[in-house]
Amino acid sequence: MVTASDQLSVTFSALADPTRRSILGELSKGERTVTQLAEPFDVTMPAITKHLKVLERAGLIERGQKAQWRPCRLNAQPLQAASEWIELYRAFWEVSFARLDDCLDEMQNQANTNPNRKSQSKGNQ
Amino acid sequence: MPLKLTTPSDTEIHIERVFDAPVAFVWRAFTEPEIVKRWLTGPPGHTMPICEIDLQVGGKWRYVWSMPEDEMEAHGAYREIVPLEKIAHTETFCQWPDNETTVTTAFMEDAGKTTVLMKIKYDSRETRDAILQTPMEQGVEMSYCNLDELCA
Repeated sequence: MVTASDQLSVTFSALADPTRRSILGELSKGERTVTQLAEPFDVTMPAITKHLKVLERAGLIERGQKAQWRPCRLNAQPLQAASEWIELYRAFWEVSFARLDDCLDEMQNQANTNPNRKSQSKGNQ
Repeated sequence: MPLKLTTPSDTEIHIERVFDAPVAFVWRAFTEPEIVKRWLTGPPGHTMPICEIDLQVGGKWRYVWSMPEDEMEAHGAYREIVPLEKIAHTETFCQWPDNETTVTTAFMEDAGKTTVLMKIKYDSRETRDAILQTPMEQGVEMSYCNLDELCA
């Protein structure tokens, strides 16, 4: 079973590459063949194929079943026409809120150990 | 605990998350600059060197994030403030000075836990897509961390 943190890692990894982000940008305009996707970049076909596999593993694109050059399409979310940025946005807030959980724990611990202390933060962290 | 993200329309995003703390603490974490800059940083490696909050109707706020190779800034003004309950503010990212979004954040406490519901409203779908793609890209560009620690 893929945990939430596994999926975040996979999503971040897939998107942390400018070539892959450009590929996704291109696909947002419609289906493309591998050749079409490789065109704007000064990289080899195997390199593009590798990028596509990373994106496919992250669930961000899927391949059609046509002939030699398989078209790649963006994975459509079941309930909305969202693209990869939704997952990225979610990941940003997941990580930030996880950090907020820690902050809140600290704040409550401080309040418990210093019952006479004023609740105003002195901002000395 | 995971957050819940929904898109009720093409121009809105809702984010809901429950925190294991009374609302007094959560409110402070969202409104006191020294606390905000500790958590609202996204992927590790970012910091927030500037966090200015003038928490009153018409008051302005400004955040500046620092990343290894770049900087990002957002700012806005507060439209409505109901202490411990609700904040409505505008938000503009420096990269898109013409696109302003409206964010309403509601805080609801129940049995010592606080649910935060953020409603983010964009002026058009293109704005939403454009804004959300690039800052997040920059966030992702850098180290994707050991998320197991944070998401445990």
